[in-house]
Amino acid sequence: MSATAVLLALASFAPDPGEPRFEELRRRAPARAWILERLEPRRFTTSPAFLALPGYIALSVAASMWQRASARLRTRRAPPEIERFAVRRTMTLGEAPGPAAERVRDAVRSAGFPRASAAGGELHGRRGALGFLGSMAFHAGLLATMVGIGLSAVGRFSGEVVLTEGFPVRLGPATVRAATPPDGAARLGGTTVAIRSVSVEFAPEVRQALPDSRTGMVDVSAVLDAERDGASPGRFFLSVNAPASLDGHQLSIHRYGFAPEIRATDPEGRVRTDAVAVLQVIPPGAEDAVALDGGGELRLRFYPDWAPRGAEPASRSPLPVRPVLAWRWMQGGREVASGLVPRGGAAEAGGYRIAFPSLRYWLELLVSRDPGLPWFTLGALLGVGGLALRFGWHEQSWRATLRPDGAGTRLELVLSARYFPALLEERAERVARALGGRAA
Amino acid sequence: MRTLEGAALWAAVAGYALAFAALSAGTFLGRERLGRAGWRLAAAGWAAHTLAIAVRWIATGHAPVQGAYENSLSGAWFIPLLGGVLVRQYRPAIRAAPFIVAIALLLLGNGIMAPAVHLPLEPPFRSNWLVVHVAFAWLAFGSYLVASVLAGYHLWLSRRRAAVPAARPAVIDELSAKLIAFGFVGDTVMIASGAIWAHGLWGRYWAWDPIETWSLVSWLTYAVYLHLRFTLGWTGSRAAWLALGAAAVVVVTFFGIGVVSDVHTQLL
Ligand code: HEM
Repeated sequence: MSATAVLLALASFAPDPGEPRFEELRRRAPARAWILERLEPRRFTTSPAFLALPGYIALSVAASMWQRASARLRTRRAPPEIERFAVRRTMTLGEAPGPAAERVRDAVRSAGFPRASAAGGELHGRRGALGFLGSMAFHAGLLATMVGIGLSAVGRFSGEVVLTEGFPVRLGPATVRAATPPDGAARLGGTTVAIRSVSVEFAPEVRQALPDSRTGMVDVSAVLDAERDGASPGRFFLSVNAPASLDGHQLSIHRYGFAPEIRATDPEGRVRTDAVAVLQVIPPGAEDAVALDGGGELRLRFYPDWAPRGAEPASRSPLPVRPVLAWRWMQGGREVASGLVPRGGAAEAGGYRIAFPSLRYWLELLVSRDPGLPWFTLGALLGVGGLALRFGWHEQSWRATLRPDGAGTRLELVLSARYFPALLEERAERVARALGGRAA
Repeated sequence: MRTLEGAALWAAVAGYALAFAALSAGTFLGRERLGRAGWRLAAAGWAAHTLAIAVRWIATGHAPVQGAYENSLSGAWFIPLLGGVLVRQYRPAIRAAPFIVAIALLLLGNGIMAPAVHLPLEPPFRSNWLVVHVAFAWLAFGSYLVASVLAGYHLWLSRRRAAVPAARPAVIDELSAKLIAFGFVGDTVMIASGAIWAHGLWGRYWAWDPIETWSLVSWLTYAVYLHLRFTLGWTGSRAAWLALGAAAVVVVTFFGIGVVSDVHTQLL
């Protein structure tokens, strides 16, 4: 465990090999880059050298569980009467054994010892079976978690799909991007999904104050319709913390943006694009490009709530209240025309014409499937429950023997616990103080 | 509302600061009465602290767990609470109280430096997991820190070898271990709930981002402590040094990694 912790701590400092900084290092110090690359947490934690450690931990956890469970079963019929640490007190109490027993019961209980049961002239109590079970449950949980992590490592799939309002998409290798592993999207084939009623909400007080920020965003939600081979459509309500579950896959909202419908016509009257563009919203006002048929591109900046600050184009809020597109037509790397076009309108410059008939939202959904998740969840539940039992129910036992002694009672008290001997003594003193007898 | 929150917060800071002074006089100068007064001041500070949290919770409409200010406000609250439970269990532990109050003060101070604007909850935080995850994170963190104060106190006591020690070092040592065990349960709940929540949000329950990696490193460090203590019987100074080392790892996790890295919040 210590080795795992140290290696992980080191790995967390390794830079991401995708960073430009890292490219630089690769050039300057290839040997150092080689080592750091292998230490990058995602890569490092799937390397055989690292996986051997949890593998070893799993084996030793399993072996120790087996050993402890079988030892426990062997000794079950004769549980130890007294635990590892014991404190003995002998004293004389003023009252007769009957009332004395009552007081002993209360004093022992209020010092946190287990409840009393009586047998002959003796009172006793014990607690601990749950502690043992707790430890077993915790370690079983640890094993389940490790199985889960293993299953996730081999069977997890993730990818992204971009859906624009009103355009159904058939999920599969052709539409799911960034698929890992690349052939994993094949299992999705056949289901067609579409989103509608997308809503992006902002808190009213923040709308005005922080127009160019996503701070103050409250939620992104949509309705997702799914259809498979003409079967009755499934309908899901999606929001940031409410993913949909479809054919064993989870679909969760990851990003959103605006999708203006654009028709671009050149001076010869040829329609060079008639499509819905997928524009990024972060950072606001950033430029996006749409390729034009026959070469060239259209550079677009989107202002959802148009309110120029002097000559500066700007948006008052992130809400699509007065959407305006700023466009630049690029041909052969050179700007040939530019202008502004509001939703529902068209603009022309030098014979280049841009129409912006409608505006929709697009959403990027994360598509994932993780066969390890149920194991991980089970492991987490067992782990938490097990730990709570283990630490909440320490093994402890006590015995009180009461014999008449003149008008009073002679008490022999043995208090014991498996852990925390010093606290045991403190508690024993509390019991003795509460009983207030004469020490023998 | 904001005025009330501010007033309650400053009352809490003042209560803790005075408590720190009085408790220190109790511990270091043997002024028992001042020590007891310090304890009452700390309790008053904590009551004001609770009021500040309640007022903010009502004003923002959500549990105060978003951003540095709110997190410090809530995180610091658990520390005197744990200290209080501890001293109720074992009265002589009150001599470690100045350090416990000092941690609460430092945490609150860290929060006061951050902007306290009222913001609505961001979309990823709109989940029932939020309160579970964050409350257990702070409970675990608080338990570990108070346990490390006790570990330090244990080392101090066992070096002084006074004829009549102010507290029994062995009891202090065991209370420190108990708190670590308690914190470990909280830590496990924090990591497990965070992971399950992360799956719903991002389609993966673990991605080895720095905060996840470091949470696991801290968890493993305490798992090593618990095994050395309960399986191999490490107690006393060895266990105390170990507890102090583990607390250093946890401080790196919470402040070094948790605050500087933004990976904990992705995209939306
Ligand atoms: C030292 C460890 C950790 C601390 C102190 C911590 C604390 C927090 C806090 C305070 C928040 C609320 C949002 C904020 O104010 O930033 C949060 C959110 C969250 N945490 Fe953690 N956390 C820890 C570890 C983890 C781990 C290990 C996971 C997952 C495996 C996790 C998953 C999440 C998720 C999914 C959210 C909500 C979404 C978001 O941050 O965007 N956390 N955490």
